Amino acid sequence: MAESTGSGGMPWEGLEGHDLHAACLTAARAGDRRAMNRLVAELSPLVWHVARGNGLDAHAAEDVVQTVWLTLLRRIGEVGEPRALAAWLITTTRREALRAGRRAEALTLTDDVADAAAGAHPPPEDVVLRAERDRSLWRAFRGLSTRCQELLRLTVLAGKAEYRYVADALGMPHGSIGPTRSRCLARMRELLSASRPDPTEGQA
Amino acid sequence: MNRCVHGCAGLFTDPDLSLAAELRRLVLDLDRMPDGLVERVQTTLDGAHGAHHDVADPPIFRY
Repeated sequence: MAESTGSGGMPWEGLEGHDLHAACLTAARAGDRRAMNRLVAELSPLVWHVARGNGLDAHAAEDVVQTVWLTLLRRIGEVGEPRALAAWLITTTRREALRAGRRAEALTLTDDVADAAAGAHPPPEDVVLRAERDRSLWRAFRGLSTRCQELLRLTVLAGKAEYRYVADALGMPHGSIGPTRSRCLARMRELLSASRPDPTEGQA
Repeated sequence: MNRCVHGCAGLFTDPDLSLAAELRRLVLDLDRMPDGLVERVQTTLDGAHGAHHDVADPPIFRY
């Protein structure tokens, strides 16, 4: 069980991962709003990326993030194992994403996003090249299966040291995360290669 | 294992590292969660609690 290690008396201080989630959930069940706020801050990126990985556009994903947290608030006593909160959120988010039913038919990188990602004031030719590269990257990513998109998003969020959390959350054997990630990356590389123009084209 | 022989200052010559770096940029930058969403959710939860404080289900939050 989690122990309080912080000076502020909050039992989740100093904890990480499942231990942090369990301590916060237990405190939130007891009515501690700070604990719920911490969970929202800690796990909303997870909910966001699962929603996006299941095909929702940004607006629909925001709605789903709100809905999932409201669902947790209503059912906070029904989450069986506090350490499995991340898995519960993933399952609930997938269900809500299906319910939302607003598949992003034209889920493309907008010019605004591409420009923002290109940096503050790069030369115009760099902006164009980077925006095109980002569009290719985005198309390749969107061409992956939902499972690959989810797994790649979550492994980036968690970092390699925390693959075990991703495995637990996705209900996969710990040892399969790395190989599955490699296969998903290989597929993404294929899609990326197919979408990028041949650099030798037009030469000679 | 560090696969950069002459340093990794923005130069990824290994295709795996290059793609992983692009993937990180996609997830953490291009498709990051919108600013302010956490605060909006927290406000929504506060409001939901206020609206349903007489229902037995939600906990009675305290600070």
